[in-house]
Amino acid sequence: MGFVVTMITVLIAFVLIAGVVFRFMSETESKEAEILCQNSVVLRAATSVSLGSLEDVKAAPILCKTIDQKIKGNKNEVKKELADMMARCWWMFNEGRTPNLLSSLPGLGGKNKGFVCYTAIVEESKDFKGSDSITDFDVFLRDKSYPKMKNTTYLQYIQYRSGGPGRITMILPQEGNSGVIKPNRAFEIAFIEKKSDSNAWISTVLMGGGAVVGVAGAIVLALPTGGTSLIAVGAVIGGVALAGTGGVIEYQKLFEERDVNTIMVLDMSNNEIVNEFHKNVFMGDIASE
Amino acid sequence: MAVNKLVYYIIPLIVLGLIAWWQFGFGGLFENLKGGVKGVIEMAPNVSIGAEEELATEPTIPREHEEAINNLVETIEKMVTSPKKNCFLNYKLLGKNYGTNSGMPSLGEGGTTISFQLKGDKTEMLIAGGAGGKQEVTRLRKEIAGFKPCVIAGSNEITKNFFNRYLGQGQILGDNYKPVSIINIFYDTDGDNGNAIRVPEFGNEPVNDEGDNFEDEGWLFKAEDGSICFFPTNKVMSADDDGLVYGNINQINTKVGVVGSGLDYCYTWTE
Repeated sequence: MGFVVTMITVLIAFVLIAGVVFRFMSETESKEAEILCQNSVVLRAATSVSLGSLEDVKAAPILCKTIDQKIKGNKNEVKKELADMMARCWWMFNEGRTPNLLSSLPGLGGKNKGFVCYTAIVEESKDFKGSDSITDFDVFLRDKSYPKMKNTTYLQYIQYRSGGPGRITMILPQEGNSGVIKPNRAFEIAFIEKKSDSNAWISTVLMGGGAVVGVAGAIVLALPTGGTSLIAVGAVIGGVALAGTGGVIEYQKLFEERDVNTIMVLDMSNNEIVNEFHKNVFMGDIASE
Repeated sequence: MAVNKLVYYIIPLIVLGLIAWWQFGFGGLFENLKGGVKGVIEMAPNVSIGAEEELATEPTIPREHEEAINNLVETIEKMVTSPKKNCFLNYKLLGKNYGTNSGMPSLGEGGTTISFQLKGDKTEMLIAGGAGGKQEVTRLRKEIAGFKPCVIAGSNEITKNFFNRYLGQGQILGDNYKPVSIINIFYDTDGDNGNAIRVPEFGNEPVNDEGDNFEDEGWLFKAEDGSICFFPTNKVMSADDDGLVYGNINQINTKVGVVGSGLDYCYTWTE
């Protein structure tokens, strides 16, 4: 009898301890992956060699991989988690200081216009139910301080406070005039690299006959097949979404003119956009390519 | 003995001197060596280690743009607080000649964007500039209480009704302004280059398919319900869904404040 009790106690203890250890390992793995990625990017920048006409030869590999995360909590916690991921993604890519980090990478099959740092699944919770929406994520990024940098908001951090010039673009489902974050949705948080020449990726899909209506310093992308209206939140991206031309809002500029390094948040509910996005942006483990 | 010692030292010194002259003298070996090394250096590729870094500065816009925007905001605020309705006010800075027909200076390609977005009973103004004109200039963000944006455009009927009432025979017909929730103003290069006004909720057209369509000369109109309207313009028609033609905007210039014209200022400087 005593033996059975002991065994049960040991098994329960094992399950509890294993759970804690696995969780710890998982979190540690994410942190390690972030640090490894950032270090490899910095090393690649530092060891870049210009030799005569051979400009900017980068020898050190980038060792980044897409990190999968789940987010659960109330609205503020979800906003903070997403904002932190955006800031860390910016940090991992040397805060936009180094040009041509990704474009010079071989073996990515053309998917070197950007890198998906995180996929985040926002789970439903008792404080953030299925019918709830976060409508003011742009305000959060503009007003809330980034804890790792004194007197600096998330938006300031990415735009100019540290490193090169940057901007934020979010392509989110639309409610009223706002782009919203809803539970039970998956998001990708990516670093899109600056490239001065025009590049017509993604926009061709967005053009595909769909009504394109801009709203809210922003762009609503009402796709014919996707069914989901997506909005690019312009409050944060500034002039991009605010621009318009030729009868339609100039959303192409959002995607074509990668003239500023960008942290992009993409709601993954529209397959058409996501597929096009993945044709151009690398996702997974770069080192294994 | 002493002479021997002297020769013993002097001869090597002379030889050393000769060697030094041969090596370092004018056109000597050392010069040749220098020239040779210099040539090698010039031929060698320029080697540098470490990627060039790009560092950001706080996003900003030109001072002239900022002054014009500040005056636009002040003008809107005066109109909002004024008890008058169906009246006009001009936001163009006095004495400024921007070389355009717009009340704003040329906002520049990849330059400044002004966006108004209605949020409940106030309107938020966001300014974009900085790198590529795509960064938010957070310092200039402003909320204007009581400001409901509208345009004199959106349908033939609206613009013609406005024209008839204020620039034509003075007939009061139907609606003569269109309330909107978002207005964006920036420099457009698609079609006619120039400052452009966009109303995203209009979709492909009206207004949004016109280039250089913000030839408003700085005029704003306060409508019956207190909305403050911008004037999109068109290049051809007197008054259609894209707005008034520039010539009619000029009529506002000459008529506002003139007794009997029916066009009143929303605010006078004696108030």
